[in-house]
Amino acid sequence: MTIHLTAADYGAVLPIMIVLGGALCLLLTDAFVKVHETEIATGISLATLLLAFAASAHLWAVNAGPAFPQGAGAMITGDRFGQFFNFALLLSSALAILIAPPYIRTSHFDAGEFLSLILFATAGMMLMAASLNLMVIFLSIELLSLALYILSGFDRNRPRSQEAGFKYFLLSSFASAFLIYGMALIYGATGSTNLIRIVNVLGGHAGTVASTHTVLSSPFVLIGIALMAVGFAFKLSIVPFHMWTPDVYQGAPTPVTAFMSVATKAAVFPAFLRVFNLALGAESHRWFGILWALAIVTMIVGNVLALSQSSMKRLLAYSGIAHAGYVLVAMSANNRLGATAVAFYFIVYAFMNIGAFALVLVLESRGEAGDEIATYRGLFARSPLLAVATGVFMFSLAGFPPTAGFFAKYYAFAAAVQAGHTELAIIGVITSVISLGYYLRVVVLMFMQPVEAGAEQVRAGPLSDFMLTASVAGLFVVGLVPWFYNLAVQAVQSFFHFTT
Amino acid sequence: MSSVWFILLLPLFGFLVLSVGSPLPKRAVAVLGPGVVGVAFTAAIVMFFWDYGRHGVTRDAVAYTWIVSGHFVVNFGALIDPLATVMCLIVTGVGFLILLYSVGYMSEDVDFRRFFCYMDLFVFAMLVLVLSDSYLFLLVGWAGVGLTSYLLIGFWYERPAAVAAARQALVVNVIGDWGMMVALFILFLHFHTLQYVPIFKHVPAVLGYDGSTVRIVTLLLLVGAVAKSAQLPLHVWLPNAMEGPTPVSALIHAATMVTAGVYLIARSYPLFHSAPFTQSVVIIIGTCGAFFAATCALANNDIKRVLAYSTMSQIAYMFVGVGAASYASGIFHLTTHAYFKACLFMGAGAVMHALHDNVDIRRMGGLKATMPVTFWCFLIATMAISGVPLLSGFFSKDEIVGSVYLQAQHVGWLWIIWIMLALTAGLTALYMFRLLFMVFLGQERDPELALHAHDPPLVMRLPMMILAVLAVIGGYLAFPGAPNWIGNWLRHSFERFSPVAPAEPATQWASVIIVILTVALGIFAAYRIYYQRRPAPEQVGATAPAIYRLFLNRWYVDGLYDRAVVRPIIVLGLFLSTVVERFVINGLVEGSAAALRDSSRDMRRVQSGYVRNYALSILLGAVLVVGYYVFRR
Amino acid sequence: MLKEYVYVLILFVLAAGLTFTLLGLTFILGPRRPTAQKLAPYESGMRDIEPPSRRFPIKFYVVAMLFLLFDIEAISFFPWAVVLRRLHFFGFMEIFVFVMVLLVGYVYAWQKGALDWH
Repeated sequence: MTIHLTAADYGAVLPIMIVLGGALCLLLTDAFVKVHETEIATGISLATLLLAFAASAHLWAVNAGPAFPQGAGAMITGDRFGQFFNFALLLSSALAILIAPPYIRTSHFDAGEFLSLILFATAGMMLMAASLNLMVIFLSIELLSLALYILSGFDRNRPRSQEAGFKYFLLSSFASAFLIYGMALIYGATGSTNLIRIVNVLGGHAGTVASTHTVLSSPFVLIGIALMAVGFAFKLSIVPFHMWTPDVYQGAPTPVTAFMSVATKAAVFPAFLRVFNLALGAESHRWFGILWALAIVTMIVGNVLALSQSSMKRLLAYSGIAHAGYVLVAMSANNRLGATAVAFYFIVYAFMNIGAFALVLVLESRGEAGDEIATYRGLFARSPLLAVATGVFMFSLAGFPPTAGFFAKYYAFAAAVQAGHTELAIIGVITSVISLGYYLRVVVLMFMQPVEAGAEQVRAGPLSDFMLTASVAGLFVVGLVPWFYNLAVQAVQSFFHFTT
Repeated sequence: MSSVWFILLLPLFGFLVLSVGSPLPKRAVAVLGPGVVGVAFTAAIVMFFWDYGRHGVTRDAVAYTWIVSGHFVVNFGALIDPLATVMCLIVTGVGFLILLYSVGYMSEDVDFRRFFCYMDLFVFAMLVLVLSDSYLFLLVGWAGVGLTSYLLIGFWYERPAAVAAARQALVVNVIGDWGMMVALFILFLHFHTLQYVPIFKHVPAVLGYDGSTVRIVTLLLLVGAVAKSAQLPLHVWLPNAMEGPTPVSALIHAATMVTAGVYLIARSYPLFHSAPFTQSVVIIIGTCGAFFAATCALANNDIKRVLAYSTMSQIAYMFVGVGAASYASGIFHLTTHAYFKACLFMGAGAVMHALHDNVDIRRMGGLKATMPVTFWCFLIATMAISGVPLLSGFFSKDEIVGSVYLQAQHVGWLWIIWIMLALTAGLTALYMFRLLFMVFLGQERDPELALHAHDPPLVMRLPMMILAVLAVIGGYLAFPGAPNWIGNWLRHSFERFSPVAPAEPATQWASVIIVILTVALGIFAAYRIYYQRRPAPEQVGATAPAIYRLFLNRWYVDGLYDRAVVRPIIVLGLFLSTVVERFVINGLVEGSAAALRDSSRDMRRVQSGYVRNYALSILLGAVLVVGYYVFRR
Repeated sequence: MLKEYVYVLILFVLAAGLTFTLLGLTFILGPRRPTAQKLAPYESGMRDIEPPSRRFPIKFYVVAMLFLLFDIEAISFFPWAVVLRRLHFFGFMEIFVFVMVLLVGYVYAWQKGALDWH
């Protein structure tokens, strides 16, 4: 057994390696640097992300087709599909880190520790987006989860935070068991954990028609699909596996919530797509029913429950559940447009959701009460910039044109229509209308209600200001400039290269 | 990247910066607001001279493909041809001068920044309208100028009259937008696109000549054009729109936006060519409007409203021009009109400034002595609009009247049109000189009011003077006998989709001479009545009280609308809001909202906070999902 | 198709049946004479003088975790050493990176005072 690794092999893992290296540097920073730790750690982590972004962009440039360095048996791939999600992941990581420093200071966190955990989680997510093997998927899901458990419970002085960390840990472990059980069953049925081989076995590329039929009708495969769906659905907070979401989002430190609300989904969805649309793509009739039902229930429950929330973080948690439902609609379409819509969604979602949490963070500096939606009353008078930015985020989350949120949703529903499932699109639109009830409530409070007496001006830090401006600009640019969508289209081309 | 995108995006940039720039100092606003339009104007000139040299007279520039969804493709692109270029130069050039004037005019206003913000937005919307290469974005610009016009008429929102006028303008414009939209739906049904070029190429093949479809489409487009250009019978909003600041009246309600209807017809000429019936309707509406508005202007005593009616009358001339398929002459009149009408409004604004916002001409007089520059500019522009020979209005108006005269040789009823147009030319001279004499000459009627009258500051004087110069020389673009420069150039636009080029008529000397005579008669009458006799305010109209009252009350059209349309609608609205809204709509909407809220509250109880319950939920979910497979077959 | 499940079902039934049978039998047959001592949580041994859930130093956990990490490191050296010759330079680099990562963790733990007892 001799292992020959080429430059392409190292290239494929380079972005992940950079992020891991940066995380290690941050640990050392935490150990040795005593003054200006927050500033230095923030700088290092942003530089790391930038570097990783450059590496990822390079990979994008050189890998136009299906890129698996070790041939069809590869563990991971450096294809454009993975790189596209890397962009989204690095973007959400960077946005979350931009808003973190004030929080780190007021909560007396160890900046190096905190940020290195975010980077570890990011590395796990990037690995997940690139994985071509069930084992790597599981490994990366554990890598990102471990970091997120600690991050959720990072605020040791706040019982809510500890509760969040512990709840997340317990329930996530429970769900991981389903996932690995499902993977084991698939392995048992197909004899491989490699996605390409699974395609070949299930899709009849290698085996005869008869053997394919036997494999497919085996209960192992079907129950394996079901259990894996459960495992993924938990991570994506899809109803009825969503119940941890509001509690954890509310309890976790807000920058962590902002980060995980977007990045976890942006990491799990590509893996979900690779397993279901790629490895099991030819068998979509065997899993479509499940995802169809889950998507509908998720959209309805997420949006309806968000209506009666009084805490902004919980509201955003339920809105996140609803958005997972929309993305699930796109995914269950199981076509090119659907995969494109999923990819495009996360670039948009990173801007609007992390932006919305950035505002929560600014208002939260006034204590737990800052999380109450009532705090937003008359925000426009207190801070026009913040209010306008939040208005844009809310409109984009609700899916108003010409913000990018509209286009993201449009493509998601268009994919379902193209696949012949208009009912999903209709339910999506109806639940979107319901969602106006809570998004616009925030807008109305901010712009049309008088300020409470004695409310002082609200001010975000310079980094947060930058982040908010960039997100607002991003939402319009991504919506109006078709370049981003074309990028997603190119990314998906490499994804479907496997099967054709 | 061609300069067209600069032209388009600069005013948008100005609008964006001004809309968020509350801490900007006034000086910066005064530089930025007009500045972006000025630079856009420079870019338009560059496009005109340099771009054209490289790309030829007509080209389509696609900025990007916005939405691709199956066969439905939305491009944002610009169609740059002589027609678009002329409009673009007017919008940015005249717009820049008016914005410059506004720096002086609005200098005392507390909402200085908001004003320039809206004005830049208006310029942007107007440019989208004229530069777009599809009906879709034309409609976007169309709605955009409607919106900004609404915002600017109601700029002084604490005045009830301004708010009411803004609302009226919006309502009337929505009627026009409705017509436009239905027309676009029909076009899309037949052509599967809204791009000009593919539509225009296939008009005869798809819709045929004088078919019922093309007739309906053009008539619906005409509804839009009539509403936007304040023509009969949707004209009522324009005089009331004078409640807005005077530069707004100059830019939007004289020089640019109200001419959008003319642009629409000229732009859609392949459609109108296939619908001779509609062309006749355009001519009749134009002629009646021209005469009607002239009579109203004759009796009105509000300096700005007289100018508003004269605007309506002049646009009606343009309608006749484009209706008679003499597109170049219509657009030519549009160009010269932008110069002298903007100049007139600036003069009116200067007078109002000097007289503490008084607009009643019966209290003015003798301002020539105190405001010489304003007087001379106003005089030149008045002569130009009246059609005094060798000034711009003379050439452009005569071209329109002359083309009708030429066609009347073949079509009998056009003689009536021609007579009315010639008569209206005389009326124009009469009411314009009446205005001039009453405001600037003779004795001052209210010495107290005119105590501190003086010429405006340089920043307002300069644009006025430039426009006065343009009002003089603007006509030589098409000097009779000499090569018709603007006509030859615009022809590139109007020959593109039609095999037979509409001939630009040679100068009709007979028509010219008769028009000159009626104009001279008009001026003479004004001189006799309003300069030599100088009736006291209460004597005005005493000789023919019935007709005078008819004119003064605008032929009772406003009152008729109020009784026949507005009041029934208000009653209906009251009924809807008290009965239907309360019992039906609210029942449905609030009922379902309440149901959602309640179910939301109930579902919330499941979220207990206990990990064991959550794990149970996961387990149940997993059982359901697995059960699906076990029991499915 | 469901045939394969039958054996599982039989196992379930047997397991459940046995459990319930045994529990039921003791419940029915066993004599019951409860006394105060018998009902106490800990029937034998000393009487408890304070609640059992007291705090004790978390350092135990830290040391245990560190021990585990280094234990696993040592174990992973063995398979590596067996194939080292065949892995050549690649194998060397891999273990080098591995050790470096561990070293960073070690330094971090050291600096953070995880190795100090007090």
